[in-house]
Amino acid sequence: MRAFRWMLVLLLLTGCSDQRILEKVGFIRTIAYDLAGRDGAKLLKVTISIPKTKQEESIVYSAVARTSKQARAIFDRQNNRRLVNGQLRQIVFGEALARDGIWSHLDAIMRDPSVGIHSHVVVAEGDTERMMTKKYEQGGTAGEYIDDLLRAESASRDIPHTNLHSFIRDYYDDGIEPVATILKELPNSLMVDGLALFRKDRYVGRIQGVDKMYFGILRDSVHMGDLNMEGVKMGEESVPISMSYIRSHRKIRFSSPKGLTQGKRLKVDIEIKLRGSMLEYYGQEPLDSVANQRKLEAGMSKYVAKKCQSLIGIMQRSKTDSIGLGQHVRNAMHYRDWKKLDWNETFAAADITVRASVKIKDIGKLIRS
Amino acid sequence: MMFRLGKLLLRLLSAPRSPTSSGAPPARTDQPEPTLAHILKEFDKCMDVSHRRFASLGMDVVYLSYLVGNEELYRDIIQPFSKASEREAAVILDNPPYAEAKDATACVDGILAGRAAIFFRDKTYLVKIDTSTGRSIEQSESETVISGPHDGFVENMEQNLSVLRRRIKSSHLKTIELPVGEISRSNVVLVYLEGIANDELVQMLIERIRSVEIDSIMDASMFVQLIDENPDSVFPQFLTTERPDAVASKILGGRIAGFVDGSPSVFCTPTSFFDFFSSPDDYYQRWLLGTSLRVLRLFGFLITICFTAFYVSITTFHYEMIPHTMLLNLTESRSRVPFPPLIEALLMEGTIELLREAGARLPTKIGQTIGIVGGIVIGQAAVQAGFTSNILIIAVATSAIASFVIPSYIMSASLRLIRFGLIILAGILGNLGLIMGIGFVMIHLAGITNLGTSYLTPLAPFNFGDVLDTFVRGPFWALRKRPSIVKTKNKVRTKMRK
Repeated sequence: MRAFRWMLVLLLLTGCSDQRILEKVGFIRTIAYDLAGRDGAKLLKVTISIPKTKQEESIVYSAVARTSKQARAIFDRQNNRRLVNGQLRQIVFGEALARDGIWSHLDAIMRDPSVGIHSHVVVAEGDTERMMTKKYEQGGTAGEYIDDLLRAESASRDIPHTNLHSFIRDYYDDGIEPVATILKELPNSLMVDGLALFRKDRYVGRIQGVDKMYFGILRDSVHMGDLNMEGVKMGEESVPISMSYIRSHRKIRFSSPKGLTQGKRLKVDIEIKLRGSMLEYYGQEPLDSVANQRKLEAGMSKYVAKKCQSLIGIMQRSKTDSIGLGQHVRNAMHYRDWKKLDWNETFAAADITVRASVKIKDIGKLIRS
Repeated sequence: MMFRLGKLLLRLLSAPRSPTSSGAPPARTDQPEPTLAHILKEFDKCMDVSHRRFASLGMDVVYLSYLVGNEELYRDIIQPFSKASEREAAVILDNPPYAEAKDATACVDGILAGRAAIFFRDKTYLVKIDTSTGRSIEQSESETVISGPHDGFVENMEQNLSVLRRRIKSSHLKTIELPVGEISRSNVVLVYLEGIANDELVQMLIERIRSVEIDSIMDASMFVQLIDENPDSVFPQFLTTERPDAVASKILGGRIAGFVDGSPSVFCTPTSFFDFFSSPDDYYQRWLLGTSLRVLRLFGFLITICFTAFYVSITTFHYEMIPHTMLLNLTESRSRVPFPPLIEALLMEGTIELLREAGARLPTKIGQTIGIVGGIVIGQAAVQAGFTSNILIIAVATSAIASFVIPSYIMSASLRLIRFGLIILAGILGNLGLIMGIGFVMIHLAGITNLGTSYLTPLAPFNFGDVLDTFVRGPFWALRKRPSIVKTKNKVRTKMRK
């Protein structure tokens, strides 16, 4: 009987809930922030894209306002459905804004419990509004195109996951800095053009699109992907090659962190083990022979180590530890000491050497004529 | 009030009924003698009462003509007594199947049960000459199996007991007859294996059945509602089945079965919630398949109570849980519907229930039209007319189909009711309401007892051995023990100590 009474109470409360009935809300799929106005004005330009039920089209609103809430109010006054964040898939930041810091915007989005944690964080090189309104040959709306593009990229492990979850995790974690995908506007398409390195929430450095696989190897173990190398020394010869289905494993060693507190320079050794299939090889010498394979492996090891070393140079110059060396150092010392340490400076000044050992797992189908 | 009054009158008119199982009834001084005159007065205005007189012997025979069989009448009355002398007749009557009736009540009861009352030399004898009329044994329509025995219980209790006796050939199989129904005098027979079933539970059940006060009972499913511990619960607490093989296996597992006069259903106790989800088929298949079917049924249970409610919940509150590509289709389909999802779902579920009830009430030949009308109206026209969204049709249909995989019709019907409660909760509070509703149901289930045993056994209290025969159907080598719910002394299936 008591249960029935409760049911009655619930029935009477029907009107007092935050219903969001499907057809009465507009789902924002992409939201883009950019700076607007002349220097010093610090105005914000917010663009949102709402897919229509006919999947081919979307509604794009853009407004310039002081805060994103104000922009939202402008959109609400235009749109016939209540705008909600629950189906957000991409959060796009203009390059200029990213350099200024993006945390306040990200934080506002993250606090909405309906926002999925897999939304991608993207830094756009180009005009965000134009990127959203443009019709792409790849079909569908811009939001769908970007979504599929990023999914395909991270599925092939070419880029580390750069979603909201990993961004916030790395932001809050000590000893690692977040990264985001860079999307570049081309005349009739978009392109994943590398990775934006952040220091806290400021965009400070950039990894070229062609190098992002090497960055992936440095950041974590890689289970899948292709590695392109140009000009690998094989004895005398210099050959372009491409390894497929690579698996890598990194190992980090560093000098005793005790010295760090005394201001000594940190010495880090990164050892990368890499195995993959050699499917594209343009050299003269046949790969059937084990001796030639060993020669090539030596050349590739040197090449990979050099590439990685140069990426670390970029990070050190930007003073951002995007590959998480700090996590390892932190785990080896007292938290008190770690707190005292300015890790970014330590990282920038550290002596980091990368050693790689590349193994050819197989060379594909054997063809002998 | 009228019922009470009637009962009082009945008490005054006739002696109190006496339980046959317990010793001699207390002697009453005002007990009328079982004389012919008294009996004939009792059956005054009954056109079916027959009175036959053997003048040479001074013997009177009274019986109800529609209850007795001609063959039996000839064999036990006409043939022995038509040529016998008075001395011979006395000898015959002293031996079975003839038995002396002690008082008038026993005599009247005997005649009503199809016996013939023989009045001879101031004494009254009863002999059973009834004949059984009714269906012959055939497959139960509500519980069918693909493979396995195809017999089912019928309305005749003696036939049912004989079917069971033929399955369990053991002298430990005890049958206790208990009369129930102040006017109808139906019998309930409890069947159990002595030494395996828990004596306390048997005693408890007997006492409970004796304390039932009702004018008549028509069916076992009706009777169990009088003796269960939670009469206000929607859940059936005694498993009722029409399958002899199921009853035999329950009895062998240490449970008590109850046969009710005139009912093809037999109730078994103590039963847990999960017993309603097992079918004899599970044991006739290979165990891996039996296990899969059990798991499928439990999923069916979840789908049937939750699926439509979940649809209502996510379309009303949790749009972010829907995959994006599906969302757009769903929105397009929903945008033509003028009602909020809660009303939409209640309308559709109501229609399905109407269809189902119509199908159950209509004769089979007209019943087929219901399928066509329902299929077209619900399947297509409702969506095209913008009455509901097509995903809702899928949800409603799936939960209806899922409700049919539950072997017990009574349980499946109860779940339908719960589904409506969950839909309303989901429409008001979203997933929170849905989970709250499931919580209510769980709390309620955990509170139900059945002859003092927990309804959620073996989930609470947990028992791993029972899990092997509840959520899965373990291979027979793993099913060595009797279920814990029956509280038996003989836990091992192959043994039977006294």
